[in-house]
Amino acid sequence: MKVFKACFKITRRHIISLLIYFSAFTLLAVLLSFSMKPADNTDFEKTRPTYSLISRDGETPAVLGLRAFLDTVGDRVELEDDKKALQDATFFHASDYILILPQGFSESLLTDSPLEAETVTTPDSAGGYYMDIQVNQYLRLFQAFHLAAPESNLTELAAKTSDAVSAEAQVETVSFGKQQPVPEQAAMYFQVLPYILLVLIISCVSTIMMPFQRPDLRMRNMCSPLPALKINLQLILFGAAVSFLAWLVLILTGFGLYGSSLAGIDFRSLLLLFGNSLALTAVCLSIAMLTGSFIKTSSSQNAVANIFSLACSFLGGVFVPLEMLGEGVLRVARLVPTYWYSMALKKICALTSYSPETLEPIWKDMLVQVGFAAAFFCISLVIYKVKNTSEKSFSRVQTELNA
Amino acid sequence: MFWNIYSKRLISTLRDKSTLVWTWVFPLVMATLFYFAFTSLDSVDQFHTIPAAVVAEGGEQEAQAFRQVLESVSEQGEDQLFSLQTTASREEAEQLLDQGKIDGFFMTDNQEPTLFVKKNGLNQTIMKAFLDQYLQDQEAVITIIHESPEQAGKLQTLFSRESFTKEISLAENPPTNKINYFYALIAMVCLYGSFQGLTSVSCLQANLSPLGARRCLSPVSRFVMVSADLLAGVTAHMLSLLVLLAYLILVLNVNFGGKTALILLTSLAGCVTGVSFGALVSVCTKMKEAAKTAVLVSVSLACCFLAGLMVSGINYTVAKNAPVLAWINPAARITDAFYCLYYYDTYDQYFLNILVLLLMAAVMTGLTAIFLRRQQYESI
Repeated sequence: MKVFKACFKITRRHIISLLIYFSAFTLLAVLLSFSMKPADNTDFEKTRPTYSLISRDGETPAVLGLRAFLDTVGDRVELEDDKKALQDATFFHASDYILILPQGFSESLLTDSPLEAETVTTPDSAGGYYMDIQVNQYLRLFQAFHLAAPESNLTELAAKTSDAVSAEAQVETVSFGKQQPVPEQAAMYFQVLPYILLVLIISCVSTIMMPFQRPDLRMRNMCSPLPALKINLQLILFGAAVSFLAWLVLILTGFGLYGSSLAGIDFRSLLLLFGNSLALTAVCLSIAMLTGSFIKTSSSQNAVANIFSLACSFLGGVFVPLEMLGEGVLRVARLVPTYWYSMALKKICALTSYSPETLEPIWKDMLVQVGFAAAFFCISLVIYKVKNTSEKSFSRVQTELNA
Repeated sequence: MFWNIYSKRLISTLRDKSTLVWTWVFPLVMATLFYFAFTSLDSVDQFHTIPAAVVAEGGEQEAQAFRQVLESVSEQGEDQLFSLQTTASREEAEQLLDQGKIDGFFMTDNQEPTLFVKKNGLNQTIMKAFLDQYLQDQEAVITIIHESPEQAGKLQTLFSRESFTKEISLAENPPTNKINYFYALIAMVCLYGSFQGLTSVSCLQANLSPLGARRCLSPVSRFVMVSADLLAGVTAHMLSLLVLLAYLILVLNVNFGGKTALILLTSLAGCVTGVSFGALVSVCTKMKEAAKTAVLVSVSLACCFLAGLMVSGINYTVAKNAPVLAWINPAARITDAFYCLYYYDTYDQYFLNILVLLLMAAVMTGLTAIFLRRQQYESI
């Protein structure tokens, strides 16, 4: 196990970079899973779009009544009456719907043709559409009450309208005897895991593999009595140990964050989640071994780590759900291992029973990942072999002290 | 001598294959990927006709009236709310719901219409809002007839006006979910200019590379050497940014608001900030080059994450909740500058962003200069 021991020595020499990668990417995993959309509930709960009400008409009973009603259907976001603040909130979806009531709006409600309120929303947004329905409904009833009893003042009309809009319909949730086994937040954490695993494992494993790529070292190793296959297997073994450590750190972090909600789910689902992420870890290791065969400098190492991880993540539905990708992109995505990870994860999260029929598609997705890993390992072994027999790969011998 | 060093450094950068992949090819690959991955991103939040069903049970007048209202909002046209199916029984509707063919179904049971759904969602909420409105209108009619019976014949007129709002647009260019990803990508490429800074300093410091040791002995003014090296780094990196911008604007048709000179100014400011950041990290620590690279990659990625590279809109959240963090994040400033050009019709915030970027670059270059100044080595 000489090579394995040498890997330990290299690890010790690069411990600072490895620690930086581990801590930075674990932190990124936490931040990413937090920044994704929050969970839904199993009982029916209204989706509450965000809205802002800018009243240039002061705090009249009509405005107060409208605001109180909108508070029951949406989440209010306070915004300044400033063009830039409104622009920012619309662009970044901080507020799905901005309602601007012009000066004299309330008084105009007591006439036959009230002033129009201005609205700002992202074009054709469903949240904006919903809030617009609600605003129009309130104002329509307000005007109906005014036309029916023109002598009523704003306070009386607001009270009547508020009474009328308090009527709510019954909603029943049909459960079909199914329940979602994996909490949404924990599922989010597992969804962002491929990016972190990929970038972390490629960065760490290639840091350790790089010195073995130096032509002078390779020439020396080839002269040694140790067969090339054994050297490569020991390298893979060490890479597997590092990858497993990365996986373990990330899983433990996940437990630290979402332990309470994960503890409640069926242990079989938990095992499937672990199995799926381990299958992906094997893929990450194989990619790291493959890329390690042509990485020579630390900057190209980072380029490769980022190209592979970001490309696989965007195509594999890690950052943007697969449903949002176009049909053409999805066809390409099938060639990416993270796609199969995301598919398996989706199926695990939707599992309602553990019969062989329901588990079969999940096994298939995991097998595809293992297949990817095997293919990448084989390709990397072939590349190592070709490189060792080709004179060209030894032509540039580095002389720098710190290469 | 300045031009000599400048041109040599430029040529050596352009001949470095790994840098070429890193700063020239990688951004183009990412941009292409973003372009294809985000094709339908904007349509996700848009309103689409909701698939729904109504159970045709109950022949009472009440149930029939409700079904008529439902059919009227399901008529094909611009204002179509539901694509409605009528089922003979509740079981049939439940089957459709379980298969995901509809988002919910209505049923009039004991005269009160009820909504049945499988899960939460905006479509289901809009269905509930429709039902709520139906009941609220009923409630209002009862109140009006109770208080003013003489209005009973004029009810249609009382409820005739449908719209009280008018949608306005605050900017010339429409808001979009996609564009921020591209801006954050450019910010990332700008920050990757730090590798140029790192290489420049490594090749200048006697304790960092054999080349640096040799150059320290050369009879050239330190100032000329440092400035020529860093400037060549900026030039090389700016060239890669120009290629990326040309690709984004001419091939992928990404909208930057059409202000070419200011787009170039932003890229240049970002590029200078990136290079000076790399130079500072390289000069102020005694770590190995791999460790310094790790620092640069981690910091750059963290900055880009906070600028919205992975999750769009996070830059807005950070700016609202931790404004200081947003202002000291160069990636967020670069993204925000591009956003200002795309979305604002004024330039004050844009120039503030550029000023902050240049200030950061000046501080980092100043610190680098202090570290580089009059260094002597007893042993290397």
